[in-house]
Amino acid sequence: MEEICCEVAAGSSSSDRKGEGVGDAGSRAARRRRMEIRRLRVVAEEQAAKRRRLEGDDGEEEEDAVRDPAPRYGVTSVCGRRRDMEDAVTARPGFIHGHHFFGVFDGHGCSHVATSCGVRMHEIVAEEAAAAAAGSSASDEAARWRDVMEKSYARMDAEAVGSRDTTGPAPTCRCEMQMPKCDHVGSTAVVAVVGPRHLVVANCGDSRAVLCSGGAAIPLSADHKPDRPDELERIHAAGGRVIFWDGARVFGMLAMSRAIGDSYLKPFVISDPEVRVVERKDGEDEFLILASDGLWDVVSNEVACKVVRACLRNGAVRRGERSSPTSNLSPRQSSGSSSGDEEAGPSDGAASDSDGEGGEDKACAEAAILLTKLALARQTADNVSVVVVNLRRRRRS
Amino acid sequence: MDMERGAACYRQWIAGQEAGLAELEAALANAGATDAELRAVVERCMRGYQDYVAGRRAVSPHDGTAFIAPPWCTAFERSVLWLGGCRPTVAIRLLYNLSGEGLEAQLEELINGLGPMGPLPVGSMGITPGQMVLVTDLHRRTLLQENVLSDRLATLHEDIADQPLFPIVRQRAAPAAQPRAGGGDCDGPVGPPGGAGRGAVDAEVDAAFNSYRAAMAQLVAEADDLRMATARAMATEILTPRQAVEMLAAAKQLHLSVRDWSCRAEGAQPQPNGPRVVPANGTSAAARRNP
Repeated sequence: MEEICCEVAAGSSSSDRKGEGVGDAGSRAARRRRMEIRRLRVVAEEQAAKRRRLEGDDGEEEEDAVRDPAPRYGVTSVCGRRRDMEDAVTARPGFIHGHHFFGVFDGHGCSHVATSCGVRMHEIVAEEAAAAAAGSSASDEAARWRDVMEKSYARMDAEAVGSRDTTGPAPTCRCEMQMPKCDHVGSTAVVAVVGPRHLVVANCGDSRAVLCSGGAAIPLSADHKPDRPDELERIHAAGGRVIFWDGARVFGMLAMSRAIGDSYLKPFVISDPEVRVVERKDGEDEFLILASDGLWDVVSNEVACKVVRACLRNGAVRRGERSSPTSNLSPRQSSGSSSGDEEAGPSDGAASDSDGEGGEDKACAEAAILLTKLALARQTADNVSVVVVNLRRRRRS
Repeated sequence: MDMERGAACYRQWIAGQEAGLAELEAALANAGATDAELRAVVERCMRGYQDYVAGRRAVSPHDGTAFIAPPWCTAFERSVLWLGGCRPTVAIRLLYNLSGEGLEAQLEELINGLGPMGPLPVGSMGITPGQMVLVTDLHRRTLLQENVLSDRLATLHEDIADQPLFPIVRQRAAPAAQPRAGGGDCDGPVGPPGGAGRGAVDAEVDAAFNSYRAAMAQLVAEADDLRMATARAMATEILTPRQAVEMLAAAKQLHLSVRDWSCRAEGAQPQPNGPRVVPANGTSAAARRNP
């Protein structure tokens, strides 16, 4: 892990290529507030397509978007062996024109911080990206994204901490926003923005993003554990202590050194993300996995990548056939059910495979679910959330 | 309530569980069984649950207290009971474990590239991604409902220190400040001498107790409904008939093994009138499964 840390801490590969569009953000802010955590979803891809059409406004961006339809992706999030669901996941293809947002948020103490991250983070990032595009003349794409992410995380943290003051609908979470318990609530946040030319990964906490590229599993984030040497040093410098009590914990309490929320442990636990911006390498980049520690505790980066690669390869082969891998579903499933929009039936796969549009993809969803099943089979005790994003661009015919 | 009838009801159910397990296992062993046949087996099993619940309720429609920690269960069984049975979410945890069986071996094959053409690993039970989605959804709904019932049980527990019982306790305690001869245990007289006889103290206390008994009966009934609904959703809506048979068999296996082993560990065959040694007819779970 230390090696990874150093790699990340030492900086990241970047590019000064310009031209990625940063589209309007405000109009989307109110849209889709639906809390979609805690369930596996098949996001209706027509919506994504429609959104992309609506947002395609000026020429240069249009060009990018045409060249780069939304990537195929799959999302799962299960409660598993825990009795509380505190994970949240977000997938917003085209959240900014030509850019696609994915996030995993693993809450602790209660679910409400992770929930608000799931609902708000992509909106905040879109707003910050729009502001950065409008206001700055900074030429360095990587520096700009780093700035966007840092500002977004700070805003998200402020919202999470301040959310109990807002008058809104009655909270449905376990703590019901009651002080002081509410102070002891936080969330990890690993966010990936897939742009036409770059991957931006921001992380805070112990969820993780892993890129599979050129056959190798490359972590794009480094878990913020209190005993990570640089984090330990930072905590000590701030006057904090790390106590080994069921693992390394800040003041014996929180088993991660950075998080959104957790105002009671500030300034020792901070919400600053570590951001990496890497250039996409067509031909090498295969896919990206974002997951909570419910997966990473029991499945290594390498095994996860092997599983996903096998699933995507399998899916690619199967696409050529007329097979129906879900044909043994019960009648209720194939005919749709109360949870009908979640059902990744054969037709969904066929649709997303054939029309070249991005969006929820059968093979990616299967990969995400297979990883989840593997984590459960390996006795993970935590919620498990997995996002798989296929980075292979599809030719548009 | 009638303890003998409650115990008989449970004994009958255990016997039914054993017979049911045999039937489920036979169905599994028959590779040629049609879906319709398997579905019929599942339906009989579900009806067995339903009959037990209904029979139990008939024994004691207005008193759920004996089912919370029934004397005819082993101490171990009692310790894992929730409102008179298993937690509904146990079914989901069971499925999570079943769905992972055989997965590692299949994954190994997939990863080692024994042909990308092969099917995706689904574990030996063959739970598909689509089914996982539905199971997770069921899990979430069941957890919420289970927590609601748990909260109501907690409230009922706390109600013991409240109306209507506590005022009576205070009222009776005040004049009885002088030392009591008989002590406070259940064997001694609690109420005034010459009261209502066995099983009753006096009308006022009875009424107070009965309100708790009835509230507990209501909770147990709702818990039974949730258990049934969860099992039924799993067995008839999410799983294929064969998978359902597999899961129901595993559930029965688990239940009977826990009963069997805890009976042996506790060195007795629990009976309604306290620990006893060997059942007269020799057909109990322990006797049958451990010759």
